[in-house]
Amino acid sequence: MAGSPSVPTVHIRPSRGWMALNLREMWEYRELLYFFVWRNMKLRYRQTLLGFTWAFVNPVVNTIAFTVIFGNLAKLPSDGLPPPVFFMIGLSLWRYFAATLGTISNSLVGSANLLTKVYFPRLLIPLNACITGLADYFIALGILVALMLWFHVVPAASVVLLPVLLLLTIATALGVGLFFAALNVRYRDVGQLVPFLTSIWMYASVIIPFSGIPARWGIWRYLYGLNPMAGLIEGCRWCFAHHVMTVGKVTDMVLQGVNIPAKIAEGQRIIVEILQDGTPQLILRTTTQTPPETPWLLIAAGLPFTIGMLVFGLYYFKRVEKMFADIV
Amino acid sequence: MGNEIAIRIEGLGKRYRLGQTVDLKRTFRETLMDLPRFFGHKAARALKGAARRTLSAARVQELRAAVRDHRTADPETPPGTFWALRDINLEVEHGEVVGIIGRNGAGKSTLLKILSRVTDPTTGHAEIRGRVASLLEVGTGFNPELTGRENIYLNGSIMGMKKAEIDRKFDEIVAFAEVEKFLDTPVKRYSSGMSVRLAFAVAAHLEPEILIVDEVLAVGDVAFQRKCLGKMDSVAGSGRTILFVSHNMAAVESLCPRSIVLQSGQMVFDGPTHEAFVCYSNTLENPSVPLKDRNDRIGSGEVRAVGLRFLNESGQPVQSIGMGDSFAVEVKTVGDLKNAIVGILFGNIMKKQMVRGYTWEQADAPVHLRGENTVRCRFEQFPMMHGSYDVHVWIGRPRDVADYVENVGVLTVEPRDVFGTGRTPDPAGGIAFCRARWEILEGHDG
Repeated sequence: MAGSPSVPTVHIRPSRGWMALNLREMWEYRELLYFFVWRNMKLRYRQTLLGFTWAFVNPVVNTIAFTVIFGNLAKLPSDGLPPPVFFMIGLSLWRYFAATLGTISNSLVGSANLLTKVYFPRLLIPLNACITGLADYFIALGILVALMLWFHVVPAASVVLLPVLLLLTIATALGVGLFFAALNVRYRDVGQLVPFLTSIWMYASVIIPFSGIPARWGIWRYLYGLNPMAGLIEGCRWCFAHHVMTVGKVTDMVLQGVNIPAKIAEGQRIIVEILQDGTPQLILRTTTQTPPETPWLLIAAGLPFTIGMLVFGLYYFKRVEKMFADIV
Repeated sequence: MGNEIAIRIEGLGKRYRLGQTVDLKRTFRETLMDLPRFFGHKAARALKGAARRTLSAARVQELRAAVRDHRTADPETPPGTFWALRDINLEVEHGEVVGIIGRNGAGKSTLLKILSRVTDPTTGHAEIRGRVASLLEVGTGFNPELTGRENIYLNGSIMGMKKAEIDRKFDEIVAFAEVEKFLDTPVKRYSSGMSVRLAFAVAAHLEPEILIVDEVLAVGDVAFQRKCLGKMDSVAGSGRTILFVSHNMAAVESLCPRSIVLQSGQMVFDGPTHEAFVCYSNTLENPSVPLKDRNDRIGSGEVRAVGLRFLNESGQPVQSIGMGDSFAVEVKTVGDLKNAIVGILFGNIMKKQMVRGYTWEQADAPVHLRGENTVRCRFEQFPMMHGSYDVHVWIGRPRDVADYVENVGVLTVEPRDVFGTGRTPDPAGGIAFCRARWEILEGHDG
C-alpha cells in the first residue's frame, strides 16, 4: 500500500497565514453538514410547545407592530404598497439575516465541545446556521404570499431574481457572522454586541423605502445602499410587488365621477383595506406598466461591503480557526 | 502491510501563549484591565492573577514551571509562552498498538489533539496514512433532546462515519449498547450508564485503520469497561493501528506492547510497555518542580513543607496503592511552629477535600515542629474508590495558615476486588467504598 495514492494521508503541519478554503474537503464532509442541519431542525421544532407555530407568530406580530407604528402612526411612505405587505417583505428577509447573523456569531462558542474534540472543516458550523435559518424564512415567505393574496398584490416576473437577492443576503450574513464568530471566541462581549447591532441595523434597513428619500439629494441617495441590507430589501420589494399601485379610495372616486366599472374593465381591482380606526375602506388599485426605478444601483452600492466583509470574514475565521480549540 | 509506517511524527511541538490557555471567557473590559499588568510586570506576574481564577493550581504550577524552565535565554520561547509539547519524533507501523503515558500535563492530550487535528502544531509535522478516527471523548455531539436512534446517526457522523455505514452497523451498535427498548426515547431520559454505553457502542463500531484513543475507558461500569477492552483488543488483533492514552495501567499493559512516556512535553522513553512503566514511575517521583522549590504557596512561611512521599505497608516508597490498603504519607517540614496543625488533604478537581488526615482531629498529642521534621500520617484501610487523588498539604494554627501548597502529589488508587466477590466496585457508585454484609432472612419478623 505504500506510495499508492488510494491511501488517505493526513498531513499535519503548522498553518501559516491565508489557507485555501479546501472546498474538496468540505464536499467530503457534506454528510456531516446534512446531519448538523437535520439535528437543528429537529431541535428547533421539537421541544417548543407550539413547534412550528412560533415561526409564524414572530413575523406576524412584528409586521403588525411595524404597520401600526410606522405605517399608521408615523405615516412613513410604503412605496404605494399596503403597509403590511411592505413591512412583511422587508421583515421576512431581515429576520432571516438577523437570525442567521446571530446564530453564526455564537456558533463557535456554542460548539466549543465539538471543536475541542473532533476535527471537521470548521466552516460547516456557520454554513449550517445559514441553511437552518432558511426554514423560518420559507415559512415567512408563505405568510407573505398569503398577505399578498389578501391585498391583491401581484408579484412581477422579476420575482425569479429573488434567489439572487437571497444569496447576497446569505453572503452578507456569512461575512459579518464569520468575523463575529471568530471574535466571539476571544471576546465574549460579542455575544452582547450582536443583538444590539442588529436591532439598530434593522431600523436602517427595513423602514424607509428608497423612494422615501428626497429626490433632490440626487446621487447622494445611494449612500443609503452602503448598508447592503437596505438595497437587498428594496430589491425584494421590487421583485415581489413593483407592479402594484393604489389609485385611490373608491368613495372619493365615485364623488369625483370616475367610472369605476370601466376602470375594473381596464384591469384595476377593488380591494378592502382596514383603516386604523377599524373601519373598512374600498380601495381601487391598478397594476402599472411602468415599474418604479429598479434598485440595481442601490444593491450595487452595497456589494463592496458584502464582498469585502465575506473575504475578510473568511480570512479572519480561517486565520484563527486553528486556535479555537486552544482558546475556547 | 507489515512494516509500513502508519504514523510518522517529526519534530512536533506545540507552544502555547500563556494568555491563550488561561484567558477563558475574556471580555474587552478584562483585556483593558489587564493592559497595565502586561506592560508593567513580567508574564509570570500576569499569570498569577488571571490564572488562579480559572485553572487548577497544578496547571498553573506546570505552566509557571514551564515558563521558568525555558525562559533562560531560549530564543524560541519568548516570555509568556511555554512548550506543551516539544520535539516529538515517533514512527508507528501499521498494526502497532502504542500506549502513551505520562503525568497530568505531560503533553499526552496535546499530542492526541494535534494528531486529531483539533489543534495545530507550532513546529514539525506529522503524517498519518490511512483512515483515522480519534476518540478524545465518547459521545461527542450527543444531544439530550434527541432520541437514541438520532444520536447514533449524529454522533456516528461526527466521528466520521458515512450514513450508509451507520445504516449497515445500526443493529450491531444497538445490540452492543443494550438499549433496544429505548431507541426512540430522548437520551436525557437515559441513565448515565445507558448513554455512556450508547456512546461507546458507536465509537466501538468505527472501523478506521488508525484509532487514536484518549482516556475514554474511565467511564461506565466495570462489566462494560471490560466489554470495551475486549472490543478494543479485537480491534488491535485485527491489525489496526492504535494510539492509546490511559491512566488505567492494566489496560495499557494488556493492549499495548509498546509505550512512550511523556514528561513536561518531551518524550523521555519509547519502548516495551513494562520498561515504560518503570520510566513513568520515575517521572512521578521527580515532578517538574520539587516541592521545596515551589513558590505558589499561601501562608506566613514560618514552616514550609519541603517533601512528600507515600509509603506502603512495608515502608517502600510508592505512587499507587490498592483500594483499601493501609499506607503512610510523610511530609518533610522546615521551620518552627508550636501547637501546629498539619493536614494532608486528598481531593480532585471537583472537590478539593474528599478525605483528609488532620492532626487537630486525629492526633493525640499537640504537634510541635522545630527545625527539620518528618511528619508521618498513617491511613488505615484507605476507603476511597479507585482513581487518582490530588494531595494538598496544610500547616498552620487555627485560622492562621503557615504553609498551604496544593497538588503536592498524586496518589493513585488501583482498582481491586476489595469485597472478594470477583468484581471491583463501580466508581459510579460513589467516591468511597464500604465493606458490607448482606443477609436475606425468611419472613418479615427476623
